[in-house]
Amino acid sequence: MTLAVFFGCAFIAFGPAFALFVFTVAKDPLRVIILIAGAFFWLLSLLLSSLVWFIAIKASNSQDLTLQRGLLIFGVFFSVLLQEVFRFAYYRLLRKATEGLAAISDDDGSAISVRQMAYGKLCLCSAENSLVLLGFMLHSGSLDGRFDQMSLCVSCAVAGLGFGIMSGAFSMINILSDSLGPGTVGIFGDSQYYFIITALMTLALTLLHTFWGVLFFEGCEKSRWWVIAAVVSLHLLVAGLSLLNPLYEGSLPPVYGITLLMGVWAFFSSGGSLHSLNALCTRRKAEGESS
Amino acid sequence: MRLLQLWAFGFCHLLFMNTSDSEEDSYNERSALVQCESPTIPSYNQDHDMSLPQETDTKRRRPVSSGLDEPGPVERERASTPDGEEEELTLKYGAKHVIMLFIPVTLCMVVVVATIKSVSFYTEKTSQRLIYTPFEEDPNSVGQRLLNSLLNTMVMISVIVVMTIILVVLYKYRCYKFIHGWLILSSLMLLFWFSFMYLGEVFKTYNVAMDYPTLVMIIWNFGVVGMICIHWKGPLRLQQAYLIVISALMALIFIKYLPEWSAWVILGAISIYDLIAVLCPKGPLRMLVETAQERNEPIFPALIYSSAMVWMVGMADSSNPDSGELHFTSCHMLKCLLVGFLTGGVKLGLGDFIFYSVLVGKAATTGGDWNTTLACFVAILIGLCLTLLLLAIFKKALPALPISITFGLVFYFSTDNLVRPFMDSLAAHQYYI
Repeated sequence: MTLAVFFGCAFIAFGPAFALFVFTVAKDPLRVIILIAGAFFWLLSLLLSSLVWFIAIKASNSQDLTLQRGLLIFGVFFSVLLQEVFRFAYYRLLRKATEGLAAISDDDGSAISVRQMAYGKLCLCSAENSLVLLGFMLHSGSLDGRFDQMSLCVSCAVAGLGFGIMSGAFSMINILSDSLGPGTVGIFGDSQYYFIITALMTLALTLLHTFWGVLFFEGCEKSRWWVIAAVVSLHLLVAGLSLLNPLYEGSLPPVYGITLLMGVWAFFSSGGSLHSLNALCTRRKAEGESS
Repeated sequence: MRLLQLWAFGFCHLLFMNTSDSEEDSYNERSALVQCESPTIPSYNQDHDMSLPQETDTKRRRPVSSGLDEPGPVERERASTPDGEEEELTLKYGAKHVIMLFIPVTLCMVVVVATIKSVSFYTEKTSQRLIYTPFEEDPNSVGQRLLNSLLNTMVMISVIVVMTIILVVLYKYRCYKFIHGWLILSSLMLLFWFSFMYLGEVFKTYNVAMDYPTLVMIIWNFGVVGMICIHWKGPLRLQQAYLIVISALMALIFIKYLPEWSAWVILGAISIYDLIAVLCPKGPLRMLVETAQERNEPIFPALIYSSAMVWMVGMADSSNPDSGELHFTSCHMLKCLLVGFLTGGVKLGLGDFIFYSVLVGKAATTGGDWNTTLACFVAILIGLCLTLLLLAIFKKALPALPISITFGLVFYFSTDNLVRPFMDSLAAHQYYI
């Protein structure tokens, strides 16, 4: 029972995130760094919000349970707001980095001539140039003019994934390690679905963070502030819905509904379309037939 | 008995890098091209030689260095135009090197945390202490405990300083045989005795019955292959694996034998010492690096973890007037493509691995809270990333401990005291943030 619950909950909570990591992040070292830095930013936001909550707790009467609960709810909402602030901060950092990157990759012509002067010789500059560009292509995967936009979008998605993974890990890991040991869930009258609900909520939150990363990018890039406001308010809504626990009917289905909505919205805002989905399916089918 | 082993093992193991003549031989036979310090024109050949790492600015146990001109992953605005494309490439390559260090650091920490969580031996507190921390910590009196931990730290740091100075003196007066012998003795100790202890404890934990002949054969093979890989030649991955394993073993010993508060103060003090020793002009480690550079020798390559070595050749020396145009152009192209791989990868000293793992291991020891461990892990990785970024900017040997350990300590104490109650309350009510 315990091992089964452990593995089941672990795979539910972290399976999609792990798959996303393996298929999109792991092969590019820069994305791994962006992921871990995203996790770090989330951690910072959590640290600051815990500090605020801790101070509030210590300053208040520890015997008054309703007050403590109220402070916890305040802590939840404050933490959500702080997470969004740190998401914005991380977006600015990524944008600065990508802008710098794009700026250098534009200066092809002048660079060669300056280098020629530096070395004082007339080198085979075209061969040199093409070799350099080849190396660049091999590692960037694309050489179109939208390099910086695309990479910033991907970076924001990866950053969102980093937020999601860290958030999920902090919610889930202690519970997973407890589920390995002996015990009976809900023996004191609580719900017996504790573990599985936690795993499902963790999964939803991880995916939500990823989608919100993409949407946040889109909102900031195109200065659509209503998108950002929507992201923040939906995050607050999801946190608020979780306050309904253990009334799981009230929290889990709406959260999953929101997750689906966010997924579709993020897909369309990052440039996907029904046409491209269709093309993907037919190409898969064609490849399947030809092979 | 254990105290004796530990004393015999001594701190020298941490401090001294093993130089091996055979590695230098292998340099000669496999890579006529790779030079140590000053970049020279490679004797021209078109194919890329596989070569063992050079240690241009290779440091030692603690400082991180690379001979590479790589800007870090984030700092981009200052890139000057002539090096535009090169820096573009090296950005991607720079990230690759960061990952090539993330993976072994992560593996070492995973081994340490897994052992701590499963084998209770390393978390049982005994009255035995290392000889370097003679003052006992009395849990009853806070002031006395703090004082004793500070005294322990002072003893430990002074032992380290003395050992380092002895090492520098020995190196300056070219007593290589002495250093070799000392290092071989200490790695013998690690590979045979400590791994025997470790295996014994693992068997006890899982109640595995093992007879002595089988055990002797396992330990013998493990140890001998380890000695060969580390001090002589061996497949790169195997050598890296052995270095990770011995760092983990050493970290476990520290976690077991350092008293609670002393361990934290020692971690902080060692980062400060690292900073001073590497950056101050009269710092012992800096003097060591400079002496080695003057003599154009590699500094003790073997007990440094090096990431990748398969690439390249020396940098073209643009000041040489005699090179033919074709030769020069090829060198220049090689420089364009592979700038940043001069010495074949970034290197990190084993002491850094050890202290990172000590920090994460101690975080795992307390209380069974995984959040703290995870937070320290992320903090250390980010610290390492920032250190490599600084390395790319300053391009000289840098201490790898200060930033990571500072982040790690800050995150440990804040997560343990602030975040843990918050997350526990949230989990109890199943609120999600």
